[in-house]
Amino acid sequence: MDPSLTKLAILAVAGVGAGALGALLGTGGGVFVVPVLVLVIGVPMHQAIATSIVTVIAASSAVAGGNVERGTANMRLGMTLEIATALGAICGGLTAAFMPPALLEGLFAACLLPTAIVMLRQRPGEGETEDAAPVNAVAPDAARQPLAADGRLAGAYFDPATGGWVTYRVRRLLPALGVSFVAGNVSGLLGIGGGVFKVPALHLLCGMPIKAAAATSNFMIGVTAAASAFLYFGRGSVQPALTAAVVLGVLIGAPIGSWFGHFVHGRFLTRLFALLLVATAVQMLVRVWTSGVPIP
Amino acid sequence: MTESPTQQRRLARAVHWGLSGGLYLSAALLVAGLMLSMAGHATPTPHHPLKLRPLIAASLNGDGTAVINLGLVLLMATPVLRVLVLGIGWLGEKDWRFALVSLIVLTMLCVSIVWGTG
Repeated sequence: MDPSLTKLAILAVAGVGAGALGALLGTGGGVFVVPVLVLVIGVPMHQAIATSIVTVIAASSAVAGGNVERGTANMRLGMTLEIATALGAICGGLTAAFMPPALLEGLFAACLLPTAIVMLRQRPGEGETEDAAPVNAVAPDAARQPLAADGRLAGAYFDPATGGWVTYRVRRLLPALGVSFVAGNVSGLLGIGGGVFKVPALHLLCGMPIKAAAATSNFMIGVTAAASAFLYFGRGSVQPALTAAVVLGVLIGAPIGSWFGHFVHGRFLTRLFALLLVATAVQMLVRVWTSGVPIP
Repeated sequence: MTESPTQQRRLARAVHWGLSGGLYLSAALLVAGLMLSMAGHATPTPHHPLKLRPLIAASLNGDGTAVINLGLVLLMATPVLRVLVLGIGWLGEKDWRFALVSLIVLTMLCVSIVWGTG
């Protein structure tokens, strides 16, 4: 394919939007890139998935450093869950051999819709404790950072939206490891970083505040996507010029989304994420419908 | 052992700079590659874009596609670098448990890359 300048410009603009939303919600934006590539540019699905996987890495790496420095991304928890995710990604080939991807997509769409309802009905602030004496919103002083709640995986970060430190504990690690395994398993097949599974798992199962869940998912999805990206790239499925255009857009959009995320309230993020889950589920169901595989 | 806030910040900064360096270089290569491709200095995608030596040789010859692919390979390597930096950081802090966790993740990533390129 010899892409025109117009197509490259469309993809770069789509990349800015996907990067901003992906960084804000902790999903990497792969779910926004695939429809643009397939429906607007006319790229075959497997090449669109390959491009999407590479752009997820761009979104993750563009904001992970900042999130780690601010403390919103929990590196220890992210790395622990990454064991299950990487294992899931490696086992992905086995899953693909036994189940058609369309059947998998149908199953996961059926899981995402109830998850969206649970996120919408959840009470704000569940699982988190705000510091009793909030510090100045303008200058978060690291020396005044409260000690994280007990436990090696607990965390604390400064939230400019509320003007205080937020501390939290991590609960139910084992089920979260199970979800991370599944997320890794399907990420390569569906062309997403698995953030749509990781953020609800971190927020609803582990009890992390939504901002920490999104930042930690963002930190993880780059590693998850890298495992699959090398496979796609080695097979020659990645279209260089098209991918470069989307990646450059994502590198501009992701820091904007991440910056915006610091100033919005958790409740807004939770609602936006629930909408994303519904949109992803619909996208999956449309693909199942068009592939002719019956929905289980 | 418990990590002090100073150690935490040092490790976080190392991760930040490791990622930023890789990303800036990758973005520069992508822009250069796109400009070369637009100027007509590009061949069709090589069959094995992950063979580094021919990729670098073609990039040095001004092949836009090869320069873009080199930028993409560097981009895909940044998360691997992130795991490596964290593992070394935790090792330096004698945090054996999480150094081991990083090593396991790094090993699995390498297995995946070798399977993918083999």
